[in-house]
Amino acid sequence: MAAVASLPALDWHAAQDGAAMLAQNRRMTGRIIAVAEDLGLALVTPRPEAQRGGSVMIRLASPEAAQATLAAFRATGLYADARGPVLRVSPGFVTTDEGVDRLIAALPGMRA
Amino acid sequence: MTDGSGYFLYHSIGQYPGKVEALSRAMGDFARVWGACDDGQWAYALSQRARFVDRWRAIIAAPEGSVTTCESVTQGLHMLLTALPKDRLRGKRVLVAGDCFPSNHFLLTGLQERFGFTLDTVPLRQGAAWVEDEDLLAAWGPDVGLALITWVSSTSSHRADLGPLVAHGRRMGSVIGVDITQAAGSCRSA
Repeated sequence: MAAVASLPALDWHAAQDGAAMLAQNRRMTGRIIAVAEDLGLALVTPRPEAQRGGSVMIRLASPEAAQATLAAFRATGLYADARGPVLRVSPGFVTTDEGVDRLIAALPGMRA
Repeated sequence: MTDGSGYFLYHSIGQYPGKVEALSRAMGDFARVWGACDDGQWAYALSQRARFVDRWRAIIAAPEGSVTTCESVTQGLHMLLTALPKDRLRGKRVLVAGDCFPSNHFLLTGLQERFGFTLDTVPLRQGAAWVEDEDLLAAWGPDVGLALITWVSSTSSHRADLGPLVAHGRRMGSVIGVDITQAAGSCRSA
């Protein structure tokens, strides 16, 4: 049943331009990393593209701070998750540049 | 706002346009076939599974007959371990990085006694967020029966350089597993 449920996604993925999807992710994660660095946030993810995957991880002060950040995100239509104090954000095909703008606008609030 | 614009969970569930409609159709098709009072269930289920396997073979460029299915990453690792010849790992080290998927590490820890191997976990350097490839290489000798490489870490998104790691592992004669969960279908390996 898991295979049946996954097939629509796999069929969709097979029809996409993989290079374009990767480029979109690189552009969006690059923007997030650049702003996080400027703000002095504790980036957990390597900076060079060749050394990282499609996610950006930022270490916050505590697991509680991470959960509070996620709650604040939800209020503005942003959806991410956390593992302990580490926030994980991974943009993809449906993520828009405007959505990245909203995420970036929320980053300064993570410095506390 | 759930229009997808602020969706940043591609390391987890993921999204694509029309997902609700496509998934609803697929589940509806499954229900109609599986609930029918005829004998068409297994042909349908097996054909869907075969198509699923073929889609994955295309993503990872795997030859026909080399791919099977599992319910989770950890179950897949368990299947690999239990498929090895008897005593293949006895007296050997199993090498894994400290930033691997936690449930994989939990599984390997628990299976040491049963399979007779010693789990050797390469640690993160002090203050580091990922295990350096060179540290994994330094710990990888000919006594390593199995090495599990995490291609992209779920805790940092650090991407290991697979080429040199796999080449080294082959020289050492190790069985090499690569956890591709966080990058399959997106990043390219060496």
